[in-house]
Amino acid sequence: MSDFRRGYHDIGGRPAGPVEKTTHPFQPWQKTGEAIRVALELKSRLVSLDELRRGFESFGPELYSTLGFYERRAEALTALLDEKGVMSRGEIGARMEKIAAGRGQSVDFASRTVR
Amino acid sequence: MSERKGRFVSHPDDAVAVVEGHAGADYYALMTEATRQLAIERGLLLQSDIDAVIAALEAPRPEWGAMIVARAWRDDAYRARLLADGSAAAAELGFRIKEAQLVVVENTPTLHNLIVCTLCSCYPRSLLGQPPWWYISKSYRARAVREPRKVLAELGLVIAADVELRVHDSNADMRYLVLPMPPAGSEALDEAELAAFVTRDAMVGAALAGSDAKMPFGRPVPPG
Repeated sequence: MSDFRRGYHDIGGRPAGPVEKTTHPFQPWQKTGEAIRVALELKSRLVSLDELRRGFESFGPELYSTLGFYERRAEALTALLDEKGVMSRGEIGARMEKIAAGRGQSVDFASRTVR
Repeated sequence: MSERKGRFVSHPDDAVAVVEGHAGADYYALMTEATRQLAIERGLLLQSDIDAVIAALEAPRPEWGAMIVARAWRDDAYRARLLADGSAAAAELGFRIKEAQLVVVENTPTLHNLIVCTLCSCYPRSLLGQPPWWYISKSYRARAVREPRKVLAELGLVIAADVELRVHDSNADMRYLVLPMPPAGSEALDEAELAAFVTRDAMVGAALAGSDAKMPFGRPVPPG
């Protein structure tokens, strides 16, 4: 058991900072992201919630510690759609660049920023 | 008695602080828009499919849970059914809990219940809507099971030392709802008046139902 480690998502009981009391609105992109996943499941059983969980519980501790709740889900959805051959990460990335260019912006995939 | 009961199994990262992290919101908003466009162009989804789900996500709200709580306060038989089978009792009032079994836990003068989901952010969304920001934060998920009294005090609720505090960890199959105690002096009120005292936070165990229930995080910490 000496090499046993719990999953990086299994954070119950670990130390952490203060619980932030501020409220944040449920943003349109967050709603859309949830809705895409649910609609794909309702319409064609393409992506289940359990699969999405498996996605963000296996994409690695670095991403998990960097991203918030809705960002983790968006990242996991892309990984799942790519894995299932529904749409590749490359195709999604190309579309991101196209949309950003139309706004006079560019995407830095390494740092996960749009500027 | 089980040998494992009460035994703390340590892990190498137990003492490593959890990082909150909120990077990449603009990036993931853009990724979501790209995915939406591609899904529609390829005939996987219609925009109306997405809109229908968004409407379903936006419909549930804490007032729905408050109606269940108020009914339980006024109807002992309903309260017993609610505690025995939360999903079935919610369905009696027309609320279908889609995502999992609803388990209702009752606060008493000697017991306070608090809900968390340490692994993910499971929450009775189809009844109460989206959880508050603090509920999905890693800090709350990590600390609510280790130092719940301290976490509650940070949220503005002090639980007396002689009151047992029971923390329930949600999972994929079980979502919890706290049945708070009715506020003092509410005996003459009807269900609709009572429901106004029941906030989202009271149904998670992060606040009490009461005359100051409109405050976002329950009762203020007493001075001193």
